[in-house]
Amino acid sequence: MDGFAAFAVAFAASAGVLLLFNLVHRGMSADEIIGKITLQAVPASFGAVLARAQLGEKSDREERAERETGYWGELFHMMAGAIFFAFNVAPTEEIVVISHKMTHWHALALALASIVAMHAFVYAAEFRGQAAVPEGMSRSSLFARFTLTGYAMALVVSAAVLWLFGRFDGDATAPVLMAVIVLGFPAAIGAAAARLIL
Amino acid sequence: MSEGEKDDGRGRGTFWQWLAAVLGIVLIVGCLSFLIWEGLGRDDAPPDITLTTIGMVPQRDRWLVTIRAVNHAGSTAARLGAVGELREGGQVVETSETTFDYVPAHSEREAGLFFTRDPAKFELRLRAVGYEQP
Repeated sequence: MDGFAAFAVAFAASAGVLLLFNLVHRGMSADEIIGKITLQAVPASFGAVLARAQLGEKSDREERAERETGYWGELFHMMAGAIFFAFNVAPTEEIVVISHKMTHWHALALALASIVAMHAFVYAAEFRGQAAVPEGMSRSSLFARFTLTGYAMALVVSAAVLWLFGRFDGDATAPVLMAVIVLGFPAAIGAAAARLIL
Repeated sequence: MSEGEKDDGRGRGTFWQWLAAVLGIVLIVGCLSFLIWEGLGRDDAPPDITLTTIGMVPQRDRWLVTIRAVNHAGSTAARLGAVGELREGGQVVETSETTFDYVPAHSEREAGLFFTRDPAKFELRLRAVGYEQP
């Protein structure tokens, strides 16, 4: 039920903001208006859930549930974070423009930088006092199972969101891959941050 | 292994976790290898554009000719200008133009040109007139 409530709040908030900026107005067809508000409501609902997680008060039951998140739960959190960041940025021109200006070597460096950044987040968790590195787990095991899997997921999320916004139409593999890696960078940061926060 | 645990109790990860990790590694290595392979191919020749007609659609008081631009080379063309000329007996009767925002390497994009005369009655010539490096 929380999810539906979050979406309802997000829908109302999106409608309000779009009206305020005169991005929906008279003269637009009904399906254009509904479409814009719905699309905007997707990242807005993530924001609603995030705000509640960060700022709201939790019941004891919820506290316990949080501490017991298993591996797949963590992966799910990472996916949510990746989608959130990717969704906010993908509709813009900038992602595609940046990918056009980059060479393959730039994209390679960006991919490696994304992986390094993701892994760094794990150690940042220690400063927050959370046990992000479970006891007994070796570093390479952690790297493979969280960081690499997480980055692969960020790439998949990035590709899915780009496809959703029609950014792939008519393109060959190389430009598609470049755009996926460019969007994969904020998606990877989102995934790593979500794992810390949620 | 209960729901809340991150591994098999010995810090090593279950079979499914390692499967996920292997899939992830395969995906990442595949992407990076592709990039390296393409990068080494040194295919950064300037854009090589061909324009073709897709179809002609009669509309209310004009005709629409849909066109496709294909970039055969390895660099992206930005702001690609395309001009369509209707010719009769060597004379240009009507000209229409449009601009493609981006035509990436080895990719294609579609656009349309509006004419006030029926293109089927004339010789239609399409040409690319210029582009910008992104």
